[in-house]
Amino acid sequence: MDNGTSNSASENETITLKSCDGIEFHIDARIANRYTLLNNWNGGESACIPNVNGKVLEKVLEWCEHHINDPQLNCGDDDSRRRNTIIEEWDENFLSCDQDMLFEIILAANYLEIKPLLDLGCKTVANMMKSKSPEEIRSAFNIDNDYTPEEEEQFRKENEWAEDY
Amino acid sequence: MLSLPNECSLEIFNYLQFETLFSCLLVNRQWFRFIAPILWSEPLNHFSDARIISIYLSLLNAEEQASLIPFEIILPNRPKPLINYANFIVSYKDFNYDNPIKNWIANEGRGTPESTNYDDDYEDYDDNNYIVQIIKCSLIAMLIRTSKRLKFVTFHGHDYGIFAKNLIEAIYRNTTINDICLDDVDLGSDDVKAITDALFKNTTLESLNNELGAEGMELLAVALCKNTSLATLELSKNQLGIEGGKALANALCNNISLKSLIVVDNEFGLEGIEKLAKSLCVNSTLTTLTIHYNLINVDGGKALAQALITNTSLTSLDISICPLDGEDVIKEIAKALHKNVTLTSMTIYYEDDSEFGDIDGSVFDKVDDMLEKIKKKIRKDIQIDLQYES
Repeated sequence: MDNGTSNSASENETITLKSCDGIEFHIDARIANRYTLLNNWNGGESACIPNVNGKVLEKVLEWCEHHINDPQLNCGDDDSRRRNTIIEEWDENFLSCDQDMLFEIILAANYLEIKPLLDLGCKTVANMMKSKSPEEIRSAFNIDNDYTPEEEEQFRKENEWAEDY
Repeated sequence: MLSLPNECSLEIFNYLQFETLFSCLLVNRQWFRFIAPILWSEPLNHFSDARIISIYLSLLNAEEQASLIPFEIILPNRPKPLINYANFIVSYKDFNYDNPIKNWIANEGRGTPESTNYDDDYEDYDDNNYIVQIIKCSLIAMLIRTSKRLKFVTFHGHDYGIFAKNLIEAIYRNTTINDICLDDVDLGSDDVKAITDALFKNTTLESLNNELGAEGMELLAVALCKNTSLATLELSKNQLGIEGGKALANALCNNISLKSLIVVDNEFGLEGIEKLAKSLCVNSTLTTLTIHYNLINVDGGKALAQALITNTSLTSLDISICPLDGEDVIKEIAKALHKNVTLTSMTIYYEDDSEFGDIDGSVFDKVDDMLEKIKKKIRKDIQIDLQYES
């Protein structure tokens, strides 16, 4: 069945990718066709993907595998604020890993130019901040507050209009 | 933040509503540097909030404050903001400032709190409007002076009067703005001169509506002959007339930067249109010409059609025809399209829709048929649309 994707590779073809710590993955060639950057490391013998370790690459490829039949999106309507933050159930479960892994996945998706996974990761992080107070956000992401109390109070006053929208 | 590259952090913040962005802003200093430019990029385009006006007013310099003193405007009594938020503004849209300024005046801006009902209080209406205008002019002067990112400004309405020159001077000094839209603003010839001077700098004057007239056009045309950066010019409803049309045609013969020219409803008349048509045979940079509703009669239509034979740059052309002689013009267009290879889209308007009732419907059917034939037989690659209404 044709899902509107322009995959020239046949179903049984596989390519080999190697993570930076030397773990090999044999994946459906159609995945590499969708995300052109993956093609660069096809071959596996000597080339390996720098910056992405086996644990993370496994997750990334699992996601790609699951979404192999998704329609390809045009990267057009990109920049509009208030984009929707709805996440499908499978994706939500997939990304309900620990925070370090979530950030590793975002980094890898960014590095490998897998835009839909990058968007998904960013959306997930954004949803973790939604409607939280500054203190709640700090503790959720383990961030130190380096404002002086006076500074924080003045910034609060100067920007309080934004709180109402 | 979160050990992610900046572009990923920005991506995350782009999903957030202002309410959450406000929380993020207060997380720590690093997050502030991300969020403040987002919150303050064009706040009044989204929210009509007097508090934003109050912050902006506290950023006025002495000169900008001075113009407010005679009107008993009480400037906000607050510490100067820690950050110059005006730095972050990217676009100024005039009409978004009226209501928040009115609200600000009602809340804190003037000594007399009883004059708060601006919807009902017609007696004070003119006075209030004038005050709003004065405050707006101070604000825009400050924004243009301060912002490092301002790209787009649009002024709307006739109330600028004595301020027009100052504003244009401020724009002239600014080096980031590349898009100016002057919609319905009254300009004297001195102001047009100031704009044409500004044109020598790298500025995109996008739209100039209202009463530029032939004289203004002549000044503008001189600038256009020398300007090498302006790519888009919209001069719709400027009553350019025959002389304005000739001046514009002359400019088109010399200008090499304009790509898009929109001159709807300017009463060019046959003489103006013929000159413009001739200039299209010389000009080889213009790709879009929108020239409908210009009293284009059958000869004017034919002249424009014939220009398509020689012209090799236009890809998009909008013209108008009169219902009664539409057939003759379309015939000429069909002939021209045999030779022309660059045009890809064409929209044809009916010049005068008020008399449609008296015209035999078969006239329209014939034009439709002819256009179908052009599409099928002459140029399959061209998109031709017919518009009945303005």
